[in-house]
Amino acid sequence: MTTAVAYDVPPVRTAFWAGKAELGLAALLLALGAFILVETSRIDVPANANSIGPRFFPTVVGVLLVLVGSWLVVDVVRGGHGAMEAAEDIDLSRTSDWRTLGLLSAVFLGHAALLDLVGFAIAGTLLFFGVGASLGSRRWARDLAVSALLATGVYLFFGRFLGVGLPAGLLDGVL
Amino acid sequence: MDSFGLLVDGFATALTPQNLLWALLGVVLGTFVGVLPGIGPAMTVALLLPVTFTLEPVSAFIMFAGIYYGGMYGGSTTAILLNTPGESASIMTALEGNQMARKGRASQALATAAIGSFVAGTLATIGLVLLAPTIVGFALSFGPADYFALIVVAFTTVSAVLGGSFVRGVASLSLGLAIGLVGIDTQTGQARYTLGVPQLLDGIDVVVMAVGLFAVGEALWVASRLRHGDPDVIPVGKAWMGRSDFSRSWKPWLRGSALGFPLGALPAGGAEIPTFLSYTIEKRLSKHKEEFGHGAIEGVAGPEAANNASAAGTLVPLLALGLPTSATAAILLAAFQQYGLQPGPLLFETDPELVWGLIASLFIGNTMLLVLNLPLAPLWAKLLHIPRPQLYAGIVLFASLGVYSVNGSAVDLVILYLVGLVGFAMRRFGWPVAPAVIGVILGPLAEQQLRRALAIGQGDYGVLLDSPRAVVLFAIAGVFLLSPLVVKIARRDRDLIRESDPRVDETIPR
Repeated sequence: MTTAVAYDVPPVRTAFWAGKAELGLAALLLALGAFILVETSRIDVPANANSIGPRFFPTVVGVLLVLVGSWLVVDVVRGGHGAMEAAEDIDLSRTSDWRTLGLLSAVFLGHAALLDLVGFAIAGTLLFFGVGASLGSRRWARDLAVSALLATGVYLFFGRFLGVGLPAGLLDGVL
Repeated sequence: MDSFGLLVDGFATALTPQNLLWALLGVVLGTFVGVLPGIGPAMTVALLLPVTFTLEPVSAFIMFAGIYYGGMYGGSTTAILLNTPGESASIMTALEGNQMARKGRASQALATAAIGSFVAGTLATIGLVLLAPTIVGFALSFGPADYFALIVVAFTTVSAVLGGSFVRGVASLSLGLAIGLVGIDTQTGQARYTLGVPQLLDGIDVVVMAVGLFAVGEALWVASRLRHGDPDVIPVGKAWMGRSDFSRSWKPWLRGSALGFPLGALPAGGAEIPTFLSYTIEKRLSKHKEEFGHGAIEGVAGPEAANNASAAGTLVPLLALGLPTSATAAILLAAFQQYGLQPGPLLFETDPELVWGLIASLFIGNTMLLVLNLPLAPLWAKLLHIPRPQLYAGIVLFASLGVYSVNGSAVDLVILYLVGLVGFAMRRFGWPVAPAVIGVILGPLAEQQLRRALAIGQGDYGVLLDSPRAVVLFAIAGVFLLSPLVVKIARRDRDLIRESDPRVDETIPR
């Protein structure tokens, strides 16, 4: 069923784009399909092949992407949409909080950039603290202490005890 | 029978003190993570998968069996004490269980869920023992064309049945198939779609996909619409139930198991349908119809048994055919692949110790869960109070740990984030996530089998239809493609339940 859903945000704008942000995902499918079809033509096919080569299956997938992408465009333009996923901690009556999303993204990508340099214990502390703060935790001192303890504990348990390969970074030789 | 002897050997493998310890650790970790709100079984398994990589295969899978059942178990506690279910298979449990809890019968609701899960899990695992060798014997004669047809069946079932919107299911699947193409073509050794990035030569790791779509995607989704304020958790004591509760529960347990196992074993699209059917049946058969919607114990016992039996049922096609039919099973398949093992009929011959050790530890893990969870219910309930910022910070920290540990590469973390953004968008627009995960894992297998089949046929496409089995399977796939129509009819039934309880409307994904 794709008819109106109880928790839909009432439309405030009447522009064509209102409620049609899913067209972005359809565009992603179309672009991906086009990319695959173009790239597929560059794959060499061995001359001795008596079977389908490395191009056949990707071509099928590329065509499927283009078809599904077009189908989705039609569906969205006609007003069809899926139901937003419900969960315990989700308030579906709210609109997207881009500030929190942006903060969380910055924290995570910062963590990815720092991890190999400063090691898991420090980068993990910053990640845990940063995500918590982005999501609205404001007890700075307590949060920082918890973050440092947890990240260090995780590093010691998984990295040292279980032998998972985690970077030591700046604290190499200290922990 | 032969499989009985093999099962005894399996118990001999699983019952060593060391392996018992891994099973216990798996059960505790699985329940711990599964109880955490917002974390369903698939995310539990994805997050804990990398933890097992340092173990030898047999121990790792014994631990994994515990995580799998533990994660299922944990979910029912959350559904009962917090009301809003973490996944669609827990909707019915939440519906009646939370009403029971509100009337001061949380202990009984948790007990009937726990014992029902134990009964269903045990019966379904016996079903697995009886059924798997038969299917294996049958599947040993499968040719590449049959396998290809089987994979096509899995594709159609997951995208047509899961979730409500057919186009969104297929879109999710095709996205997964596209991502599965990335990397070196195994037959000609050429790099495909890597954009010249050397880290992509091995393809995008399934762990990165699963953790990205489930964990990071969920964290971003929650971040965008976080519900503020304290969660409404109902306090609970030790889980127990009296004689009258027991006499009202045992038939629903058995009926739920009988429904859940076959529907889980057939690639029929997850646990949502059997739990829903079980609820409907229990409501019709109950002598206490008036209690339904206000906390009927049958409405917890039946669906919860169906849910667990169906989870064990999905192990039949996974182990016997190498065919995952749910997101959780797809991640389990990824775990096998991580050890260079390919589940399927051959694994039963080449590695019986591992397969039967795994099956034996399903029995053991299930028993451990019962013993652990009845007395520990109040402790698990405390986990529901973890402040949400710290909860999701922990999920993201573990996502980073798990994904980094796969290749030791921070580039994977950037890919993880991008996959997480896709997972966020999928949740926002109501795309089911499971088809994407299954597409990534089964896409390369589908291509491999297709090329083998056509090599046998010297390039003649007719070879795909030479085997009568393949023809039947393609026909089944065709039926599933038409199934959205059937589902529409089934939904009419569901709308009846919706009318009697408006809360269902918020939770049933369409």
